[in-house]
Amino acid sequence: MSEKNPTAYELLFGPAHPGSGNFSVRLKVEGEEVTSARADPGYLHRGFEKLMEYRNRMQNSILSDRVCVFEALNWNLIHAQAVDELTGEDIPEKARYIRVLMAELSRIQSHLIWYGATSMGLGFDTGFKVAFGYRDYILDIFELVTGGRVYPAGYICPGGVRRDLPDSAKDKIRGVLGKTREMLRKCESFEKTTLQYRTKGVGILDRGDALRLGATGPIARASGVSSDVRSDDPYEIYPELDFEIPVRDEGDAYARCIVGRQEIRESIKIVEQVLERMPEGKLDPIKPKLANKIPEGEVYVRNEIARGEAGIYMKSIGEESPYRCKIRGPSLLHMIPVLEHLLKGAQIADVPAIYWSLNICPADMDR
Amino acid sequence: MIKTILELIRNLFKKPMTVRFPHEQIEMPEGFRGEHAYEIDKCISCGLCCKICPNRAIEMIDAPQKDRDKYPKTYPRIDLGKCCFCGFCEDICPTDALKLTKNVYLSTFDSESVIKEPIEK
Amino acid sequence: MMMWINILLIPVIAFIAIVVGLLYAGIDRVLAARMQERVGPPLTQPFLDVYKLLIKQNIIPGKSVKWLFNSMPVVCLASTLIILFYLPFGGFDPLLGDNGDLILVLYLLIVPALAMVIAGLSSGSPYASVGAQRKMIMMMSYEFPLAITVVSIAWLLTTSEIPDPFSLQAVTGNPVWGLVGPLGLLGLILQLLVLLFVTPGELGRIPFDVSEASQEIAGGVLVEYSGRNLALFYLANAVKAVVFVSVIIALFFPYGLGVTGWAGILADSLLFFIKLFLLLFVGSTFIRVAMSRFRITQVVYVYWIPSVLVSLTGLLLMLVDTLL
Repeated sequence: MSEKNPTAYELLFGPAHPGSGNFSVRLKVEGEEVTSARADPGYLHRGFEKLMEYRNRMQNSILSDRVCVFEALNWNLIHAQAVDELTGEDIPEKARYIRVLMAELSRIQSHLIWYGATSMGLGFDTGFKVAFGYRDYILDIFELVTGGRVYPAGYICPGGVRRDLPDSAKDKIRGVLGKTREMLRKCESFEKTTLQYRTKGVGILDRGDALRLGATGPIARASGVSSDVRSDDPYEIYPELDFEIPVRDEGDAYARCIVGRQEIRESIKIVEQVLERMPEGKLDPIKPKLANKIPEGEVYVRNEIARGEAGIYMKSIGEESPYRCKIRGPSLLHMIPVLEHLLKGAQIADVPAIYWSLNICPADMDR
Repeated sequence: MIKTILELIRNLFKKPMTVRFPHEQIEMPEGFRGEHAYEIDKCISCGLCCKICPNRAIEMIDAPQKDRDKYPKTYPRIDLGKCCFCGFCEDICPTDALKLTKNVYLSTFDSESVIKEPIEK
Repeated sequence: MMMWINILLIPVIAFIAIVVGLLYAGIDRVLAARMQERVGPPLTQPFLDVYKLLIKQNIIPGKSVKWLFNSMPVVCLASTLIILFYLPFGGFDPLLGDNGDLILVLYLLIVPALAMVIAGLSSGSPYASVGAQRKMIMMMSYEFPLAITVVSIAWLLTTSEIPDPFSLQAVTGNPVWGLVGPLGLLGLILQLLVLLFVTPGELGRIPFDVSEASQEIAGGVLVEYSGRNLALFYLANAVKAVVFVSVIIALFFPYGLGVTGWAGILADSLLFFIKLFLLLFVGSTFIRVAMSRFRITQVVYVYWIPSVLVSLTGLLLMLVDTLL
């Protein structure tokens, strides 16, 4: 005999909801407490892995920036690295520096979106508008260097970068870094009246659970797991750069937001170092070619994008298009096991705080 | 608390960040990928732009009947609806006949104007 | 005779209150935008919003209780406007004379909130039920400090031997600042701060808009409303701001300029509107931009413990002052 509980109902934190992205979570609620949550992915599946099997390497690098629009240049970089390892080509030194520069700028603007979206989820409208306003200065740099504000059209491509940096770029980038520091100062001054009483002690992910469920990136670092692919398994010119990895112990939503902010600071340091050390000289632009076969082989490359650890497995059988290209996005593990684990036992009012503090991107989960 | 209040009151008297389009505009830098500009006299009809386009937005077509003597080969017709403005056609063209300009004001209600013909009819 | 003229003036005052309310909503959006470093909408945006809502289709969900669903917006707007006729507004005496007093105004302030709760519960959607439950809890929370403040003003008038202390004529005719010494002045300032803190809760603005939290429960109480019904709720929200701040002005700042004749009436009205805008800026716009939303448990805590303590301290200070 089962009894019907009159205060139990099901709430859809769903796709047609102003508080979530293209993703849906089914919550079973009793009163104000969530008893169980089931994630429902798949709204944004576009079939990238199949599309990449029918295009050559330069066309694939254009596709790769649409895997997740918020960090387009980071996905460009990881795809270019996969093809470079298969071909074994030598990348010019200046191109390596430009690649890291653009990837770090992309990380900064992705963290600004994270801050803005978290503020929106908590009801703090000012943070949302100000964060997106300051992000626009970085998009102006992208427009100057790559030719497009949001989609850089495969700027980081196999073999280097598509065009050289224009002459006025370095000074403009330094100006933008100053503006980003101003934004960080504003975030700190807003913190006491807005972030603290909603996120402290909410959604605690302890270290054992973070390792067991597969969390990577800023979320794991906020739970005490000190791992970052840029220092554990370095790529490009990261071995020569000097930066720290912010780690915190508490594992609640507040710690995640603080780690995000400190990462912006570290990225600003990296960009300044890159601008100082960049070699002089002109780079030849890379033009697309037809009938450009990729040598046989298979390779797995991993990278630290803004949301965590990303990976691409590419296998080639000697043709222009890869035989198989598997994309591993960090958000799959964050959205299904970690989110369901954290939402159990939470209040309805905490659901947006937990959801947005995990920095999930439905796009790189569904691909 | 005090910092927030001072910050917000100071913002009231500062100039806002918004650029009031269309009265004012941010200047677009050189190298921005916008609409195509095609010079038919430089074109050698190699067809590379058609083969490299990732979205198959370019199609090589014959010239209209009245211009057949002057332009006997095939020329690219670009469908701006499918184009993703990546710039590969500009990069691969061996004679610089196809370039990308800074024009981004391409929205239209008229579906005829979305397809760019190489030779005006 | 005067009664009949007053009754004929009712639609005029209602119309002026709606226009002032919408105008204030427009100014609120522009000022909030400037504080967020952006350019806001034009000042007439709320009028355009109401016009847009009125020409849209009115969809009534199948699972709702139809007569409640359709009548609650009308009840909400009507009850908000009625309060205005018992308050002195813009330099004039209350339209309905001394047929109503402070106790009636306090009771009538509950009716619009109750109308929204019933509207939410009759919508037939789980989001609306959650929003309606939260609104009920919030109503129970903010009534407590509000009642303490109003009663302490009336108590002050009683001990100063003013007849009929709950009537609005008595309150507006004897400004409270003149009836107390320095300690009582501090007490009165504390009461004013508590009333300003109750304002966003009463009007449903951030940080207390738990019942219409669009990011958590997709619109809350008003999620199933559209078209003409939503336009009436929007107007009721705009007018409620004017009404509640008129109550604050009547209790604390009922000053006029003391000039007689037509110029005097015009100057008094202008002064009233300026007081209205200043109090709404502090109580509604600024708090909305600077803070984020509270959880429902935090709302109850904030209203029952700190606000009540501050209010009772103010009352204690006034008590000590009269004994001295």
